[in-house]
Amino acid sequence: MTFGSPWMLLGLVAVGAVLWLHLKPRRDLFIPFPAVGMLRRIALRRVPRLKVRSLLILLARILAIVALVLAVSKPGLTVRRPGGIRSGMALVQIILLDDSLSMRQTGPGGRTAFDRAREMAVAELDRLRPGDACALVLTGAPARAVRGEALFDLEHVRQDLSAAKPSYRSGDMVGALRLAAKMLEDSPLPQREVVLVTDLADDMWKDMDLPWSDRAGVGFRVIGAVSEQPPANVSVDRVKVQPLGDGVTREVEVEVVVTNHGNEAIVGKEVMLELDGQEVARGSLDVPANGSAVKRFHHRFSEEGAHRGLVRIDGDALVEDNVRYFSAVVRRALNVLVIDGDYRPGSYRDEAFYLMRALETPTPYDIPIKPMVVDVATAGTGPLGGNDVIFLAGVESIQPPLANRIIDFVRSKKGLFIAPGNRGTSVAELASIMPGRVRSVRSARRAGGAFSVDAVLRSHPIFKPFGEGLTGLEKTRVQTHLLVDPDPAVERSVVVQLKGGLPLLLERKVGKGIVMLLTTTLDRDWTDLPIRPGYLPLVQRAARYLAGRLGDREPRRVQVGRPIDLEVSEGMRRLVVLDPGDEKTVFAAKELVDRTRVRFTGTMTPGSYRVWAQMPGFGGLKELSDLEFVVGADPVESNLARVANEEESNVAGSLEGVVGVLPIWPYLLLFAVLFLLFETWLVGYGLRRSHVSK
Amino acid sequence: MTERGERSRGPVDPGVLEAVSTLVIEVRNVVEGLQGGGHASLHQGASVEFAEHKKYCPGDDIRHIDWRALARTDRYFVKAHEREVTLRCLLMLDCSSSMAYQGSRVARSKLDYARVLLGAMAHVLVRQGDAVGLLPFASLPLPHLPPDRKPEYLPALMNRLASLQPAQDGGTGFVEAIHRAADHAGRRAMIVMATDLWDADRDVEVALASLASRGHDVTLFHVLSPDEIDFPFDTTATFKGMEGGGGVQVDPALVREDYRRAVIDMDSRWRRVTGEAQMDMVSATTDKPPETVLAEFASRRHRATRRR
Repeated sequence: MTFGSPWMLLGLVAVGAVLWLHLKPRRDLFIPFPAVGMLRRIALRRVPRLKVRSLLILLARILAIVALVLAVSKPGLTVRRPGGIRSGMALVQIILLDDSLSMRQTGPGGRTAFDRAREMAVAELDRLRPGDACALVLTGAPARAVRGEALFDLEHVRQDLSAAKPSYRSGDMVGALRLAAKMLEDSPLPQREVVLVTDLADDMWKDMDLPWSDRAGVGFRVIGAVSEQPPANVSVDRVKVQPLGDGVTREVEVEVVVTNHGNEAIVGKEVMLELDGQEVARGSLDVPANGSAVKRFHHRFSEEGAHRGLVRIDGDALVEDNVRYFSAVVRRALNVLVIDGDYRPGSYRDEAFYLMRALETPTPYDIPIKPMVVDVATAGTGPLGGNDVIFLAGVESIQPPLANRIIDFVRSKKGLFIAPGNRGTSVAELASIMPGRVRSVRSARRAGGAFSVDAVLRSHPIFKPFGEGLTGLEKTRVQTHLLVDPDPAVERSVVVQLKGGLPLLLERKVGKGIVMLLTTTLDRDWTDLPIRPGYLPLVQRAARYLAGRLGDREPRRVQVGRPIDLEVSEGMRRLVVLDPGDEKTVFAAKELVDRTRVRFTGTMTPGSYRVWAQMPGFGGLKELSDLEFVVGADPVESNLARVANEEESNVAGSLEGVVGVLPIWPYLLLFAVLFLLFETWLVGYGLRRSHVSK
Repeated sequence: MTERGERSRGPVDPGVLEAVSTLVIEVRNVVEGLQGGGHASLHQGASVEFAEHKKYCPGDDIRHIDWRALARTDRYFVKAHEREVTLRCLLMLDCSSSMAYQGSRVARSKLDYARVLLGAMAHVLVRQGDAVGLLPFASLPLPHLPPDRKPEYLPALMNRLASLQPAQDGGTGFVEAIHRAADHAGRRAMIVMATDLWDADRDVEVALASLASRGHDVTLFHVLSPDEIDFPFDTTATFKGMEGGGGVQVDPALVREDYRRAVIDMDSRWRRVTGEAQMDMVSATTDKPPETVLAEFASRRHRATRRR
């Protein structure tokens, strides 16, 4: 038994009201009458009949109310019957049409599974009668209803079906069922049915559960658009590009994962690599049955920068997954020289220990950092020019020649990061490029306390990817730090400030380069900063910032249909995204103002998406290779295997079994009317007899 | 209309009096009376009505010798004439609380109606020269007025009628009232009782039959409201007894038929009882004009007297 409007069952409370009215002590009307003795004798003679009549009236009223309440609750008997149940009442039908990538598979005659599915959906539509309503939901992720509600004008749905096209999306059956459930809920029609037209791909049943209960009375049918088991499919599931060496050689390794979804192993599958529109390599590999194999190509680019490529294998039933696109940004790694003033390799008491751990940790999409630690003496003899940034960790003093070389290094568009040692002495030889004059050391240890961070310059590029909480940076406790006086002749900025207005991290531009001064140690001697979650990104981004390579990053990858957030720079006036089909999506200035990122949702086609922006002080559009991203299909869609028969009977069958509800409310309504008529007859029984005898 | 006239009329409307002014109420049987009047007496006497011849006996008044019979038969016969006497009528009025019932379709209670009926009858009888008395009764004995034929007596009777109020509770006291009537009416009187006969049981039947068997001309005016006959109520209610005894909750629609049938049965039973006891029973429904009831009664009596 199911109820279309179960909340209507609250009306059964009326039975209590009837009982109360029937049984409550009656506030009688008193009529003085002479012949009471005669009336009493008559009444006594009729009491048994009256009691029976009263009980019958009460029973008829209760039954009428119960029947009426049950009727308006739209009850129905859940009946499992293949093909559904169709009574004379109006039906709302939601057609879930699978438009995921797997529906592009071609069958006999070159027709795609989607074409057949659409024909079947149209056939379902043809079965509907005038007065029925229908809606079309496409199940590709994210599932979307073509229109907001079920339409009584079935011609519109037919047009929607004609206009529907297979996508590159993955399947979103859960979302589609939720949409269907909501549309059914919004529909007033008594009969409800959901028809899923799909290729019955094996993976679609995972985590699939109907968002309505058996008692909801929703019929659910699954129609397979692919009758036979499709041929084995082979797909390029993943392409990974990584630089070889230190990046100076511009040599990369392209790692390709090819998956065989068939039950027979494939020998000698040909794989072709194409870069910048030209085939650059070709090879073959053996792929085991229901398994994957990896093919690696090595390629040396002639120049740095962004390169777009693809990997292709031979065609099969689903040609769309035989190609996978990628982008590769070829740049050399970031070279960082760490000059350690207290050189104790591997010791946690060494500032360089924490610094190196932070710099060496790889982060996704970012250009790798290659740090090197040297002591002061070695630094004095070695070349500095091959580095992008120099970190002075706990260095108390350096020889003037080295100081001069470092100053020249900074002026030539390089970066210098200075942090004191635990003895609190500064590098006096670099005073001319320091962001301030180091006066003395200030410590809170005598008071048993610590200084806390007061303000962080959030607009600084270093902190751009940091969240609202600055990954704990604001909770940093500093026991000791250098007191740095401002130099009126020097323009500096305080990036992080302690309470009391004293700087923790300062910055100064020197020539084309930048010098940053941390007024506390890089290890735990003076502060707990190294054990804060924000330490690693702070150090890494400081290094990239000082090197002027904050924007250097690997192109991001995103699945078809999923949104991607694009970073917005300050002053950016226009942002243009160009998809693989050269379709432009433009974000105007009003969409970019006061925002750090915008969301791009047009990731419907696999391939490389290039991004241009109009920057302040730059007339035309400038390509931002660091914002470029690649869209790829979900490898799950490449598995075309139809759900096994046994599994189908267990999984699909269990879902499909609830095919309809036999409405019984008309009968209940009839009973309610009959009970009411019976009650009326009982009440009027005495009256009629009186009138007859009048 | 003089003040005296007002007083003598009492509860009776002038229109009613006018309507009954020409009525003559005759007794059903011969009656006994001390004074001459318009009604046949059980005894023979001076009258214009010839009764029979009888042989002359010494001591008979020679004025009554039929000389023509002497001439024809040469025997002495004396003419015997019926004696016409005045009627003694005792009007019994049921003043039990049930007589206060009015009903929904008439403007006066049964007691008021009976007052008018008996008052009009008293007028007729006094006008005829008959003696009229009043015996109201209820659960407790009420003061009565003995029969008197003097016209001056009528206002007192009317005032008494007008001052009667229904008893507040209790029964009717039928049997006691009938016994009192037997005591006060004397011999062969006319006894007219206006009552609704509710609560009149077998003892009442016996008492009335006994009264009739003594030679009294007993007439029952069965005074009922139309609502007591039709039972026209339509709402379930508790019908409360007017003479005590609690109430009963009924749905009128369900008992109406049985009630009507019971009323008819009661009427039939009383007609049978009064018929067997040589009594008269007159239905006096309060929606029927009292003068009409009285006229029908007088007419019926006249026809009965003619047949006799």
